[in-house]
Amino acid sequence: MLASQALDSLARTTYGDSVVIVAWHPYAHDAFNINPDDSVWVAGYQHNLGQPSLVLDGYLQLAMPSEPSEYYESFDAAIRTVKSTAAYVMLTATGDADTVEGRIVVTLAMDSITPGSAPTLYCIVTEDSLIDPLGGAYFRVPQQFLPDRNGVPVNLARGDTLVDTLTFATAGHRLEKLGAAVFIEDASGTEDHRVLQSATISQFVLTEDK
Amino acid sequence: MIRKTVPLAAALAFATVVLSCSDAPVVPVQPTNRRVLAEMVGEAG
Repeated sequence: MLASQALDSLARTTYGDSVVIVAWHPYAHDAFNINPDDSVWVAGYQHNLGQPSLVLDGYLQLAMPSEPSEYYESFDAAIRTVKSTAAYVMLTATGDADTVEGRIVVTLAMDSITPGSAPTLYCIVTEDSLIDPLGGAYFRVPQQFLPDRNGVPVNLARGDTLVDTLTFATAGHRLEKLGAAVFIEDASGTEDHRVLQSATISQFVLTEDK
Repeated sequence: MIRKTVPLAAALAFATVVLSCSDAPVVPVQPTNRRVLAEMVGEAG
């Protein structure tokens, strides 16, 4: 778990919500391969990386250091590299949930859509603090894509703002442990499915059943 | 004749100024704060 600990530590100490983390568990023996259909699909989408691997903004596949002690510095340098690219997309996400339903409100504005690109909105509901049989804790484990892994194509003119609400059933989930990762990706395939902007919900606002 | 050409030149200059002002102003778009999507793949639980 050392690689994910290094990433969590960087998010906590240096980057805050500037880093949106999703921890995929695509392997068959993994207890947290909760949604195998999607997790295996994502692993293939990311070119079937080894274990563990880190992919930033959908395109930068990090060469994992041979020594786990080098994870922290290596991840830090890679995040800074990706973060230095200008982002002309504004994206925010808020969420509330009750024992029946969770709701994610996404607000999006873009400078312009590059001809030939296909900006697409993706949303992944995640869950924190999953404990394995040995007592190890895992965070930001994907539960499901909203509405599905194909995402929602985005089409809006400069100056327009898109507000979309995505919902999901919360039965069987620990509401206080739920979070979400939201991102806009160029799904045209011309730029290796590059992520244009991301947002995170670290915790849902808990409400009474509606 | 000289008296008439001077106001005409001034009028043309004024028209040029008005026309150039009628173009939409160029507003530089500032990039927003990039949030990086970090996908960790594969550590077993």
